[in-house]
Amino acid sequence: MEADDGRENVPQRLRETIEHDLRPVRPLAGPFRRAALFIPVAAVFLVGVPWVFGLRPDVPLMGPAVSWGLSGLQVLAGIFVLGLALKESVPGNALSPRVLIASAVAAIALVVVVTEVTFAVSPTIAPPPLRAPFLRFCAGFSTLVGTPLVLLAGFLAARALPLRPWVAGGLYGLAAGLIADAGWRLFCEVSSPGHVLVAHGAGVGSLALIGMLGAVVTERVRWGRRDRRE
Amino acid sequence: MTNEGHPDIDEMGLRDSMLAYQSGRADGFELLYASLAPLLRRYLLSLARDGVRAEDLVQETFLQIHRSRRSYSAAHPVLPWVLAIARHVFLMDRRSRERRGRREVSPGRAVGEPAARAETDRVLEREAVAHALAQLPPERRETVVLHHVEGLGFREIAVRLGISEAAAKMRSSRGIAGIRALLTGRRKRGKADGS
Repeated sequence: MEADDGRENVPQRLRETIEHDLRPVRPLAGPFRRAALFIPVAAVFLVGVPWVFGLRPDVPLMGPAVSWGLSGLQVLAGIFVLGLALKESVPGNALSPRVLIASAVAAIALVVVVTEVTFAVSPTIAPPPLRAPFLRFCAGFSTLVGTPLVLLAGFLAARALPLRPWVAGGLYGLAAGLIADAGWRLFCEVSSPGHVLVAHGAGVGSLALIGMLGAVVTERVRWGRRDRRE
Repeated sequence: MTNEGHPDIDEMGLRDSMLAYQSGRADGFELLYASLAPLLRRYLLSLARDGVRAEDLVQETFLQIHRSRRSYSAAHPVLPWVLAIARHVFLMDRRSRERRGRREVSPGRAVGEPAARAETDRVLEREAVAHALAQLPPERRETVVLHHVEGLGFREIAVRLGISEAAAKMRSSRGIAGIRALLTGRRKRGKADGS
């Protein structure tokens, strides 16, 4: 199948499919620019969680830098990780294992540092009989409130073509987890590292897992449709 | 389905075609197809080791390119974007086949064009190389093809496969060493049979 100039022609069936849907498309903006679109959503979330659930009573003791400042920093870290996820979602832009490990380590380190600083400034612990219920409550609800963020981030990533959905999904789930925890820590008044790292950490981890599974399922559905077409 | 007769890949030309395609021009897609189809066919043939299946995968790759054409950015080269999609198409197809239990391995229509396979020593030699290539572990085979056939640099390969540059170099050199060993063994066997 060659044209007169020796060039290979497009097969008829493929040509028909393409021409049927040959509308102009606007190229996606860069991954970090698209991630920046998430900032207003994250800001609403940051204010919305303490507004809905109540602001922790020790905010005056913590001061604006440790309360809102550190949460803002965590949101920015989440936005950065989301940018990485969106970059990973573009074919040919696979992140190296080094970058992936560095992002995961940096995210964990940030949560640990924020926890330690908060505990140093305002040490609060849960009463012993309430420790287990508080753990369950924080892990469950921080996962629940963060799930819409995962879905939204997943929508942004799916507009490209994530070729390693478990990686992209894990990253945008982690991003959603960081943002969700940034809001949740403004509500949860327990600052002991044991509670925060286990309960809030479980929330972040669950959201990363939800992102990973959601992305894999989305990819399977996309390819399942192709299989049925055949 | 060889490289012969096809123009070299011109990255600037590919980018212009891609931009025209994104703006809804059919000629952009046609130019893209003409430039990339032979290369994709070779690449997918090296992965699938089945000419018919490789042809199907080429068409499927172009469909995926079409669906995700908005994800291409002019700031980046076209080729890694396209090859990453092609590799993914191959992997998903392989998984689908494995799931359906349809393993189709037909050595008769494996590597190369039937017409070209017929007579000359050169073609036989090429077949021997292809055969040796097919015996390599998939990750080494892919790196060898990307570097020595498609001409990608190790950094590009590393980015696309999500491995370090050193790992890409190592895979390629071990792949070449493997091919060399297989060809040497084959020649020795041939001489022993002849004597």
